[in-house]
Amino acid sequence: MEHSDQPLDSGMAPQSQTEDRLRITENIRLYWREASQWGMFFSILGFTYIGILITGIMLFGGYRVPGYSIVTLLLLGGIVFIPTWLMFQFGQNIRKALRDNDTAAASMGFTSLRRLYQLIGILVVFLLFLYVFLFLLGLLMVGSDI
Amino acid sequence: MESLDENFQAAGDLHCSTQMLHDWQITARWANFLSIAGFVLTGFSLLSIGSIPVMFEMFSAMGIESPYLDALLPYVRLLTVGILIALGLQFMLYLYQFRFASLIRKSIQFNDAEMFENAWLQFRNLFRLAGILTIFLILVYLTTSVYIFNFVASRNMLY
Repeated sequence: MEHSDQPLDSGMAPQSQTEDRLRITENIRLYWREASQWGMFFSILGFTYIGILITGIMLFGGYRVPGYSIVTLLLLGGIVFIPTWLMFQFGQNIRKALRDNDTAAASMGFTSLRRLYQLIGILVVFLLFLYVFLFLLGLLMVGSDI
Repeated sequence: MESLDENFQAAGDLHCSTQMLHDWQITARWANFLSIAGFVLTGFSLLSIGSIPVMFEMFSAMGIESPYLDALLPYVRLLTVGILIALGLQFMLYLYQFRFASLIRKSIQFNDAEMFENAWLQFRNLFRLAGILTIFLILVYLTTSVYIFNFVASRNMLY
């Protein structure tokens, strides 16, 4: 007969036991190494994009680029900079952690990764709400015309 | 009896800290959300893909003249197949993300080392595929820009 009087977390391992059991194997180190290298690649691309954007603002700042004011470009640069910086932090810290066997650096790297995911997630939620809002606004406008 | 070096090695060895477990759990939650949003987006894109050839035919029927439209018109079918492949690759990206999220959560929950290793394999695959796609997209962007520039220049439409 099944025991129904067990606590909900009976199948789960305690935190300290999890730390002991989940070891960083040689394979995991290889996966982290490659992921951090790709992370560095993405961040370099992001920084290059920001560099091109800043050069564009400096060269053509005096002229009006259709659809793109300086404020828009600066805003775009700011939005791109934060995830790029977090990705760079992730790549750099994980590389350092693997090189020096530094758990603190690995921890900082994964905190950057967590922040990156949170930021992208919040941006996606914002965009979804914006789409829904614009869709409802469109429906209201069509409704008022009829 | 342990030597000083062994003690140093044990202390300096890379291991999972409480902070790391906490970060992975939150990362997995957001990764799960993002992958589900991605699956839905891919589904909607797949539904709308049939309208591409119709759209191009409509533009021609309406008599809209654009050098870019002229350049793309012979390749509508190829473009549709290209978008289908791109959607397939996009689906793969979300799948890797979804697997990473679910495996990392389960490995922490059930203390499973095999799942833990597999989760990082999925994470590596996600970054690898995203990196290769980024390089490919940059190359496609550059090639298409050169092609369109040449097409427009050959028709003396620049000035």
